Amino acid sequence: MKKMHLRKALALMMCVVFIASLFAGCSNQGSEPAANNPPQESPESGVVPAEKKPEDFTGELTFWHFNKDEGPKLAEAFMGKYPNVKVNVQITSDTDLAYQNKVTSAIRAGSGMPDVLAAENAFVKRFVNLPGGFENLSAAPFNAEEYVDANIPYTVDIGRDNAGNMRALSWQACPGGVGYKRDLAKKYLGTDDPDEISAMLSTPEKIVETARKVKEASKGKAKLFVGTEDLYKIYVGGARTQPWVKDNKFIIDPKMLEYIDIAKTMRDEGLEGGIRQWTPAWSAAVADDIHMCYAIPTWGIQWIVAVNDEKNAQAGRWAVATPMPYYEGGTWAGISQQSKNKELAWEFVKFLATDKEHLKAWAIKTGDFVNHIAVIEELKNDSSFVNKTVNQNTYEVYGPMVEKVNGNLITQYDDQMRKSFQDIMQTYLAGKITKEQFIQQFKEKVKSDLPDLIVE
Amino acid sequence: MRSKSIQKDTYGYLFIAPFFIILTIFVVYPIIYSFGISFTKWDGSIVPPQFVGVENYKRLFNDSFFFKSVGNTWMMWLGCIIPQLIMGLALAVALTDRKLKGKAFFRWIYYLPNLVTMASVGTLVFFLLDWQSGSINRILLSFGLVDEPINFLQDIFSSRFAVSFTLWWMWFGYSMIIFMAGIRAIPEEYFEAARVDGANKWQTFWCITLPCLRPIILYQVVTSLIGGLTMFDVPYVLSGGNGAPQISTLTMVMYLYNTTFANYNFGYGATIGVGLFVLVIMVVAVAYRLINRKSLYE
Repeated sequence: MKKMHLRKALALMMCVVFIASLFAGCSNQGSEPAANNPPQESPESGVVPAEKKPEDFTGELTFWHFNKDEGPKLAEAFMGKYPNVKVNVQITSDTDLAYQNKVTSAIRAGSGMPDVLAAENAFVKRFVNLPGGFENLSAAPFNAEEYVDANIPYTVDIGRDNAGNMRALSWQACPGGVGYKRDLAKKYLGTDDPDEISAMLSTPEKIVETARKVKEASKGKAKLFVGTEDLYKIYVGGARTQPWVKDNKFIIDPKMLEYIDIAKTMRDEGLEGGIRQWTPAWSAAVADDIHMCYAIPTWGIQWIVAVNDEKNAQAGRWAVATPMPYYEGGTWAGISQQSKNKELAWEFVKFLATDKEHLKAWAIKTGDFVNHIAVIEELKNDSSFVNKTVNQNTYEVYGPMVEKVNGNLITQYDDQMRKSFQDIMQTYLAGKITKEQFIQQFKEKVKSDLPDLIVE
Repeated sequence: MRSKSIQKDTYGYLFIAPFFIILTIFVVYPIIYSFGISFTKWDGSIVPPQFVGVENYKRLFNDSFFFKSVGNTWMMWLGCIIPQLIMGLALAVALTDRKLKGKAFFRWIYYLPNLVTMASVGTLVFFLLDWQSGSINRILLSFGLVDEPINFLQDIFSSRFAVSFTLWWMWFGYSMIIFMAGIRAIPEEYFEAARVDGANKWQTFWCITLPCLRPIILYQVVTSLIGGLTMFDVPYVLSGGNGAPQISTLTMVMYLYNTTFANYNFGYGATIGVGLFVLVIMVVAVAYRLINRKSLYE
């Protein structure tokens, strides 16, 4: 009988332990948000004299990024100058919106956000407007407005929320050009000079004309552009004058209609490769002898060309022409409202975006096009600063483009717009629907995806 | 003695408590929560959901995308389940034949596709069907069967067919295994009696195997239906997420997912979820009736 009691007691105990363990997970999370609230005030109380030296900063930061190549390098650079700080980098790629949903749910949960997080051009406008997301950097104690005079204005403006407050800063400017393979250009167009190529691609009519020339000269083997999406980047990031949404109203800029026509002509006449961007075939075509041109923004030299054509990465096989100004991409970083160490977090963000010394070193080390005006001027005039992939001084090439970039084209809806537009565009290009149907279907899709917009 | 029996009851509750607690946390609560959210407008941020009454339901009943997604789901499911059952049954009959050699090998081979995750298979088929670089187009071109590569995934019929075919390829082996178990469970005497009566194989199949398998067929249809209504991975990967071309491969769950996690419309996403839930409940109710009707085994 005693034995039975013992067994029962044991069973009861196990039950209790098991049930208790179920709640253990919950209680832990539940207590965190409460602990999170007070630090909201901490920046004000912890105002530091501006003279604090890098070595004086101590502590740890958590940094979320979506790119495994860039994130750790940024942290390393910071830790190089601030030896007593440790930055823990966590990378979540944004495949299937994983990064964005991770951030959104951490904000919603009220806990789990890092101190500093990065945002890409495709979703930065959404992030800066997310309640509970980025800290307002225009306000004290950050006073970011005082630090960004040297940065390219369009990159600063993209980091502002709809009320004009600065929420995230960037270290890059991403004007774009058309990258081409010099050997193919020489063979089919008779020249590989960037200025001459720029002239050949300066208007839609000229693009089609040049594409026909390439087709003829190569007997149909070579294509001017790898796909129509590369042209889309030029149109959406520069040729048009109005964003997708203005005053909550959905707009299709006339230039986008022009893009639809030119893309259709190119497809029907076999003047482009028909390969969709970021597919394995698209990456592979970088190294082939068929597809001549890609849309190459500043970062594309490294991340589109060099990584996909390693053999020629140092050989100067490529060149960049700048027929039409546009921009694509860029990364911003800001401080999470949940951060418990905002002083240090701000030091990190400030370092990334405004530290001239670091930005110059970063530009030289990574080839990245930084958004610091003085650094751009310096490197532009430095004839020894030549990028081996394209055999050009990239600052000289892209520098004049920067001023022409229109930062007002970006909206928080751009990623959804691109996806819907391109999906239906492919059907149109395949000849399955008419242009009228295309526009009709695009509008219906926008209406369904974003019911708050006025679609006429 | 009496107190002892009461104690036992208490223990009983304690022992089943973990299950019910887990069920409540992970199933009941989310269902109730989603139902609540479906009456709100919410972008999933820290701004609290805003109550909008039945606005979302009004939209649902007038939403051509939703009805399209329901139609697509059914179409692609039917295109998969019919050949799946026929093929599964045919293979099961063949592979339970005593005289056939190498049965184990074929069973294994046919079941194999079911072990791969759906998303990987979807990606594989996507690459096979690619317009410019897909193997199928390469083969067709090299044999001179076509002059221009075919853009399979921009054609409504071939896109839906690709989804159905992929699901069929993954699941006929599973059907086969279930049917084989069903056939083995048919009493041998029936077949003996048929042989004594001089029935040929075809007659045996129609008069004994098939009627005896009726409950198994129903079971397969019902389980596949529930899986089919929640179809997601393969069409998601094949269409690049948006149900292209022309919303022809958008399934109900894809629509729910996109509305919620790509367009941040949590309220309406929950409404679609409720719609899906009601549909599944209705279908399952009908199916249960069919199954519980007196079958041959009772």
